[in-house]
Amino acid sequence: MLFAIFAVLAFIELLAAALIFLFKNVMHSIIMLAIAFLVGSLLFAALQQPLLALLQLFVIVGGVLTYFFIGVASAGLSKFKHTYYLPLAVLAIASFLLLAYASIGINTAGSNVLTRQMIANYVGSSISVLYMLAIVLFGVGLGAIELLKKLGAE
Amino acid sequence: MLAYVLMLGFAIISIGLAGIATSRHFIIMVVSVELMLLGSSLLALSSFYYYSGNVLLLLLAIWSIAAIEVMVAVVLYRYLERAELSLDVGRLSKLRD
Repeated sequence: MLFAIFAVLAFIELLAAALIFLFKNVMHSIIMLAIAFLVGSLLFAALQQPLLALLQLFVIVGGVLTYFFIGVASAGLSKFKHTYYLPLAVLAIASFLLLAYASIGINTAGSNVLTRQMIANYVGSSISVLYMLAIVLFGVGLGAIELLKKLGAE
Repeated sequence: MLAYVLMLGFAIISIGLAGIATSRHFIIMVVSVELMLLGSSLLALSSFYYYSGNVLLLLLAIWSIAAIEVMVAVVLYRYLERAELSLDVGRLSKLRD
C-alpha cells in the first residue's frame, strides 16, 4: 500500500518537474514547481515525518513559492522558448544514471537490479561521493555553457 | 523501498541539473536550482529515515537557502523588468559588448 502511494506521488512529482521546462509561460512553470514541492511534502508525510511535511508545506509552498509567484506576476510575464528539450532530456537521463547507479539495487542482497552485480558498499557510505559528483557535474555544465558562448554559439 | 526513494531524489536532482545547463530563462534557472534543493532534501530525509538520526537542522538549512535564493531572484527579476532588459541569459551576457 505504501509503495503504491509512493509510486503515484513519485510519478506526479516527476511529471511536474518535467512540465516546468515544457511550459513557455514562466507562471505555469512556477505553478509546476509549487506542485512538485507540494507532492514532496506528501512524500515526507508518507515517510512518517509529518512535522517536516507541514514545515515544507507552510514555509516553502505557502510562503516562499507564493512570494515567488506574486513577485513574478506583478513584474510582468514572459513567454519565449527557453529550454532546449533534447539536451535537457539527454543530460537529465545521463546524470540520473550516473548519480543513482549505486542506489538502484539496494536490497537485502545488496546487488544492482540492472546488472545483478554485488555492490561492495551500500549507499550510506557512498552518498557523500555522489553529492560531490553532482557538484562536479554542475560545474561541468556551467563550464560547458561558458565554452559554447566563447565559441560563438547562440 | 529505500532504493526507490533515493532514485526519485536523484531523478529530481538530475532534472534540475539538466535544466540549469540547458535553460536560457533567468527564472527557469532559479526554478531548476530549487528543484535540486527539493531533490537533496528528499535524499537527506530518506537517508536519515533509514539510517536513523535527526534531519531537521539539515532541512532547515536547505529551506533557508531556497528561501533566500527566491528572494534574490525576485528582486533581480523585477529589476530586469523595470530596466527593460531581456530575461534571456544569452542576451544578458552580451550586455558588456
